[in-house]
Amino acid sequence: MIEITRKNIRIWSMLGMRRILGPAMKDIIGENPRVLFATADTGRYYAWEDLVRTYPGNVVDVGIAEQNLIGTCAGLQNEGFNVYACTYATFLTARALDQIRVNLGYMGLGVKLIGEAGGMGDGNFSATHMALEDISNTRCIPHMRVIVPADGMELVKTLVALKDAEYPAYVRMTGRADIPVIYKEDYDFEIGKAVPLREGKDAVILSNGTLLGDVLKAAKLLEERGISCRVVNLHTVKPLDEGMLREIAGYPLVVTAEEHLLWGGLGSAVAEFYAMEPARPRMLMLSAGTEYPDAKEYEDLLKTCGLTAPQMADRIENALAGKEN
Amino acid sequence: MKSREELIGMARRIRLDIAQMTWQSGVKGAHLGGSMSIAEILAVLYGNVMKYDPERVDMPERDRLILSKAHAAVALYAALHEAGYISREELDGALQGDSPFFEHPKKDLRHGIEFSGGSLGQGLSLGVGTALGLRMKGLPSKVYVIVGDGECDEGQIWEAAAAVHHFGLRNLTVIVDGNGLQFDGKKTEVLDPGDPALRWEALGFDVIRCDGHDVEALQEAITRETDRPKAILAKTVKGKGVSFAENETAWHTGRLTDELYHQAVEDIEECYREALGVHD
Repeated sequence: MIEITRKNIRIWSMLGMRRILGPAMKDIIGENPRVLFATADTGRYYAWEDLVRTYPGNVVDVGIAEQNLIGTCAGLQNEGFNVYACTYATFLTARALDQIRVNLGYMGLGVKLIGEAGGMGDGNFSATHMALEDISNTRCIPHMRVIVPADGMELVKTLVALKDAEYPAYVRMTGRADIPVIYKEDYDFEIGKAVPLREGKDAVILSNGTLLGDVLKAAKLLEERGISCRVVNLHTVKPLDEGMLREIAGYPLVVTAEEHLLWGGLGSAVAEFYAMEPARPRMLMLSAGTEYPDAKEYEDLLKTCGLTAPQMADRIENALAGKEN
Repeated sequence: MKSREELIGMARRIRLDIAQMTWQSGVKGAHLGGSMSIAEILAVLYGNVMKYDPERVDMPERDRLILSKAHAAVALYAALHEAGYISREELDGALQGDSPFFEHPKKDLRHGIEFSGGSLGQGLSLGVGTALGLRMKGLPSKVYVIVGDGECDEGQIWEAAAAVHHFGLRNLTVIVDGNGLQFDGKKTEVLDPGDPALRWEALGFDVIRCDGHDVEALQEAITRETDRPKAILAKTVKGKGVSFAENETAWHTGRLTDELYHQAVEDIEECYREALGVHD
């Protein structure tokens, strides 16, 4: 399953992130018996049947109890296991934030949190199921790495990269099924190292998650209007790729695009970095805004938030022309 | 195996050290009430029940103690001194200056502290993970989690208790320090959850009620073989052994002036003599 082939890349795109998770964890556990997979009654989302059948001793379901999920996983991690804990991103990182703070941040126990329905992927269920503060909540926790994979292959690479890691991490899964293929071929993935996806001279767009599909489309639309944009996959929000951010500081405009409230996410992380630098670019922070959107289908929610490709292209063009957005 | 008298002596020393740490912390004070109430529980666990070796702090087969009501840290430090993990000098510095022994304990296996604590309601979940992990590894070690009766207000305790039942964690024992008081007043007046025994029983625990200051009763309860996970409801007195602090809500935390400290020492000695059955 986790072999990188053209066929698998196509299958991963069709499945979407949540249904990649179970089969990928099965392969990882197959080679790493000390890896455990834990959930709070959302296992069926992850196409986990084969995992449960093959390695029942490596699967822990604590029921609908996110606070206990974190504590239980921390206890297991402390006994020498490497635990991946997955449930709804918002219930995981908001409801159980104090448990994450004490067990993973303060004690430094290296549980790997995986948030499903990060952003607005399940926005049809209403704002209760949107994760729009998860990056903010996890990013401020000491020791925590925060990773937002762009597509199925990058999710698999992230999960594999964490199999021996001793530090805690938060992996945010975004999109639904039929997610864009950002990488058509294998590439070098390293946590903390941003990946340029497209070159350009007028502006840089930093983004991550499945939203990158729309960002690349926006860059293409802008190209047709004579504006060339560099696009960078900033899959790791923490630690930031500071070298890359210094390299692009001279661009006329740095745009961040994310499925997150305006406060505390990718845009804030980049702005915090530049605030302490001698040279800072002008920034445009594209986000889900400052309110919880009402329930809608995913594509409609992106539109409500101004995050579709044409809307992002217009907003970037306006910003470059000095107009208000 | 320590005798009843030796365990009572150990509880006495734990109390004297709690008083001393509270006194030496100066104006900050310490959580005296809920520390005094678990002196016998800790004496029995470290004195006669638990398997551990301060020379091999990471020994896989060691039993694990998790102090979920972590504000009773000074009691834990005193017990860890008895057990050989914390030196006299270290104990004398606790709660002061750069000492690593804070008002709430920080994870420090070298000194026998399995986990950090302070945010209530979290220790039983850590116990679930630990007990599950030990079972997965095939280790015979036991897990003891001390929770407060006030702490049982926290919903996470009951999420974790359900998990203990679900996973059938017979290697885990919960000890509830039932001192009947919490920060704002009497347990029953602040939040009365009904009979706690019914809650633990409903979740499949073998419930044993006992006098939490009777070392023999505690030892019998903690070591009793049962088919199910065990919850020991230890009836205790908050501030036990210190006349002015016993059953006093205000003594959840407090500072000991020189005068009060000397009074506390006298009271603890009196409590010790009473426990031994020696009368003046």
